[in-house]
Amino acid sequence: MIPGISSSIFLNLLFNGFFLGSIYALVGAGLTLVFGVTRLVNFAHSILMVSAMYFSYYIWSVLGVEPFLLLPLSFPLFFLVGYLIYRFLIKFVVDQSFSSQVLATLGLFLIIQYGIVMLWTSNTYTVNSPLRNIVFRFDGVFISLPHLLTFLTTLAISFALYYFLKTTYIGRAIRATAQDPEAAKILGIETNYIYSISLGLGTGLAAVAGNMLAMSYSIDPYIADVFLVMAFVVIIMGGMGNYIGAILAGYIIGMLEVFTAFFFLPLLKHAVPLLLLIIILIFKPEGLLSRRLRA
Amino acid sequence: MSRIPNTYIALFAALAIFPAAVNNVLVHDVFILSALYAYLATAWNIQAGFAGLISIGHAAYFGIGAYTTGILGSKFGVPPLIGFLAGALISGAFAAATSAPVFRFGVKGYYYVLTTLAVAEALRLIFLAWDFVGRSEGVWVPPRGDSLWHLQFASSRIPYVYIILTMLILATLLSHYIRRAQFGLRLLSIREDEEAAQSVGVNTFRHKLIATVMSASLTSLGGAFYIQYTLFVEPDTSMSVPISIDILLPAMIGGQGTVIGPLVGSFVFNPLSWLTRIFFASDVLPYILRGILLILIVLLMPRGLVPVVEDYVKSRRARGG
Amino acid sequence: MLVLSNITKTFGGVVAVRNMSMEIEKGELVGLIGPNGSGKTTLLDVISGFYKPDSGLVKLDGAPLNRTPPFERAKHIGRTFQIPRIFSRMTVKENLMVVEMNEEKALQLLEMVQLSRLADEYASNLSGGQQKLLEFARTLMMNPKIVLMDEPFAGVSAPLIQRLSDVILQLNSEKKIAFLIVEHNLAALFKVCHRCVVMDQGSMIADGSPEDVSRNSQVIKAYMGE
Repeated sequence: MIPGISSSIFLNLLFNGFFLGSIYALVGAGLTLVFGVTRLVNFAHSILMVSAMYFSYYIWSVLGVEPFLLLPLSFPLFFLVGYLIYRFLIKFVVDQSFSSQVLATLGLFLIIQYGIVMLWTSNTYTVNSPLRNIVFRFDGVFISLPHLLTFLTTLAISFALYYFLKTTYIGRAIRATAQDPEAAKILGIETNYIYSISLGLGTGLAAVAGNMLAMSYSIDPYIADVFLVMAFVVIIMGGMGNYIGAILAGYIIGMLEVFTAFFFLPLLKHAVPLLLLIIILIFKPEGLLSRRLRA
Repeated sequence: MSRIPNTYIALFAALAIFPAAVNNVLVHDVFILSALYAYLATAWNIQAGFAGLISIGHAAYFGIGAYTTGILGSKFGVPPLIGFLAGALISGAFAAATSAPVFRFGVKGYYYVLTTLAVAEALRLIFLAWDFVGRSEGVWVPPRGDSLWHLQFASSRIPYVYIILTMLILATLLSHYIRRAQFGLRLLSIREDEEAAQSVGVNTFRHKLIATVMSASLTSLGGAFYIQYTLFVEPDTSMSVPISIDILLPAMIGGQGTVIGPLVGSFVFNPLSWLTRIFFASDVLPYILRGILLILIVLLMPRGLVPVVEDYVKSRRARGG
Repeated sequence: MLVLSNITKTFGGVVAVRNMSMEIEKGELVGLIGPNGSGKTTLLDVISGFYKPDSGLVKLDGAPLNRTPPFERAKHIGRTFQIPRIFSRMTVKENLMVVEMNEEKALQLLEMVQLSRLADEYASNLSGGQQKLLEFARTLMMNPKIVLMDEPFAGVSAPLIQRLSDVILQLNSEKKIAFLIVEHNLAALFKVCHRCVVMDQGSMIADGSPEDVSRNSQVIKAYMGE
């Protein structure tokens, strides 16, 4: 144990790290999946997660449905959103220079972000669900039900997707395209179709993260700014395109952030992972977890 | 020294006459904003347009310029002109310190873009946590009425108009000179193919570093002007990603890699953005407009306005004689 | 003048160049041939400095180059690439003036490769063959002692091959520039080179006059396969 703090504080921090890490893992896994297959860095990824938060909030405020129960609806819905974004925008920039891709997806980010501001203003909203108040406690250690659900859902979804990529025909086609798009084309795999599916899956993962986050976080459009950058920290640390790497890196960054905030300075909780990112970018841009684990 | 094209001289003259002819504070404000971002985009263009080092973190240099002048002036009574110089030095040193390892280790493409973003965001977050720079309250410069010494003008916008216009014209001429000089050709060669540039003797590391430091120093001068104009700076409105987008957007619209593109782009975009705000009475729509323009330019006109117009003029001359 | 001693270069355990030693004299015209994947381009990249050899030494006029970065080597060692690497969004003339701001010299060189009427065209508007000529002219702006050429004749029309061969021979005899030319078009190559080095699977298997090499049974075996 770390000297100076009790084991219960340490465990509380650890569980918080698992929660935040789950969100980063989901966001990172989605972003890295898209990059691995299409070689596109999607700057609109985090705002799609925030859109899912607003979707959760909206359904909750109108129908009173728990964000958690929305998962079966929001995953396919945002899958479709990702699919359409590919068909109507990304398809046209996927073969262009990286700067075109950066700028086009940044443009999409701005449109969605300020679209949200138009619809809901930039005020902060909170889903005051009864689930929030269910907290398991033992021996000075607290775990809220939303945190626990987030952790379990993340594990379930990331394993399910891994299994999907490993075993199904489409999953294998996605991996083949990620390895070598030209060869995949020759094998009769339609790359545009695979790319759109990948963007759909990536966006679906972002939506799951958004749903889970809506249970514990307050919602405003500018959350996306922080997550935009943090998602890059995660996928670069995990090795861009490396699915399992992103999930592991998500948990590492989550822990780092929680422990920085406690031991160092809460305001620097995002700066420390960013400095780490800069160091990784310079010295080991292929990622810390670069052993080939690509799904 | 290469000749300055007549079109530039005509543009400069028009820009100089317009604010004197239209005596309206609102118009002057929009003019100052347009000229400031034209200036910043010109600085960005030296690094990104010429050398191909796309940055989405130029807000960092802008912020450093604004903060240096603001803090030196408000806390130590240092006159703004010295603040300008100090800001440019600090910004250049910051760019050199962060870029040298990046270039030395061959960080390129996406990874380079993300590095620029990470550096700027890290700086913003550090400023938000740093007492000396006023955290989220930022820095206020005490108002002094009309004073050339303090570079503040309360009764009229005209001095600000001509200060930033002078900066813009000088930056454009510098950019013009660089583009024609061997240094500029070498930057372009790096943008086109870095390894091929090395194969014809270009020290790509040194050229990239000089371009970056130059761009950073010029950008910080824009930040320094900004705080003399608004008398206030804080991290979220001076060092955040939207500022970086505002810096690169005019160059994208006008034509990155061209000398006059950033200027044209800014004087097209910023008045348009302002009109959108006024016409729809919305602070939000101008941002959506930015997003739409980014996408439209990438999809329909990736080279930007200036090259398209130039080609059109050329083809008409070729046909019409 | 250019001396390679015991160069070995591997990529993740795969040997691309194995213990290559050779020497090129001032004004010598050397062909470098061998089947695909025999390590020819890798060898050029080691000489240019784009790859660091695992072991071995590159020397120019007696001075070891191992610590010299590519752009410094380029002052004496010119280089062209398999697929021409021109600066597309710059004019033909600007492509040359990257090296030196000497318009007169640039136009002379363009004249020599018959591109002077395209001097103000964007390089991207040139045909593939013209781009190869441009890349070659750009290299000559450096006044190199030796030029490494990677498949200069591939994908080039017969008249352009003739033109390029003439220029190579002219520069060689007038300015004593040495050449190391990787080429699969042996007929065209044998017309220009004095000497021919053959590589197979990373190693040198023959070194001699074009006639000797083309009669060498080991070379024929390497090309024909077992």
